[in-house]
Amino acid sequence: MTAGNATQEAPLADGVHGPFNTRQLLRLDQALRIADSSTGLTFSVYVGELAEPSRESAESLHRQLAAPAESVLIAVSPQQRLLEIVTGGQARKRISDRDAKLAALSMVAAFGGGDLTGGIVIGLDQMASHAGRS
Amino acid sequence: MGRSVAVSETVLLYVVIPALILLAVGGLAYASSSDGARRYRPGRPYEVEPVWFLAAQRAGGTPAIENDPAAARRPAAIGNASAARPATATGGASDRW
Repeated sequence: MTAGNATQEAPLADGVHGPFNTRQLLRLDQALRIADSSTGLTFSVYVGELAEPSRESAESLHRQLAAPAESVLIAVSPQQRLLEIVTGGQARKRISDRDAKLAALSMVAAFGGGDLTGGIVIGLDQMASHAGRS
Repeated sequence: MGRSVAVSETVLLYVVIPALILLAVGGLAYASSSDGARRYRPGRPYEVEPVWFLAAQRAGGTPAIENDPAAARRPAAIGNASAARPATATGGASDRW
C-alpha cells in the first residue's frame, strides 16, 4: 500500500532508486510491521526533502495518510538534516510529545553517524514501546 | 649456502602475488558496497528521490513496503490533500542533526 491517496502506486524497486539496499528495506519493513501490529496505530516513514516550513510540509504529508488521527509519520530529510515526527490526535494520546522527542533524540544520534536505517528502526521501536499494546 | 633466487621468482613472490591479493580484497570490498543503494553521509549532498513507506495492510504476498517515486511531485499532491481534508490537532517532535 502506497502512502498517500493523492499519489500513484508504484511497485517496489529493488533498492536501486532509494537510499536503502534490499537488506535495509527488509529491516524497515519488519520494524514497520511490528510497530503497526503491536500498537494498532499506523506508522509511516518518509525519507526525502521537506519544503520549508518543514513542520507544515510534514503535517501535510501526515494528512494524506488514510487515517491521520491514528497515524504517526516519521519524516526524515537527510539533505536538510532534519527530522519531523507527526502524531495524529488519537496517536498523540498514546505517544506523548515527550515520548516523540525522546525517540527523535535517539534517531538523530544515529542519523548523525550516517545510519538512516538504524535511526528509523530505533525510533519506530521506541515509539511503539511507548504506545503500548492496542 | 642457500640456493640463489632468480629475479623473476623474487618479482613473482614480492610483487605479483601481493598485487593479486590486494586486487582480490579490493574487488570483494567494491562488490559488497555497490549493491544499488547510495549511502547517506552526513554533510555530503543527498540527491535521492523521496521514498515513503507504510506497512502493508493486505494479507497477500504483496511487498510490505513500497517505493513511491510519485512523491517527488509532492507540492501538487499536498495542495490537493490539504484542500480535501481539514487540519486536525497533531503532536510530535522536531529535531536536527
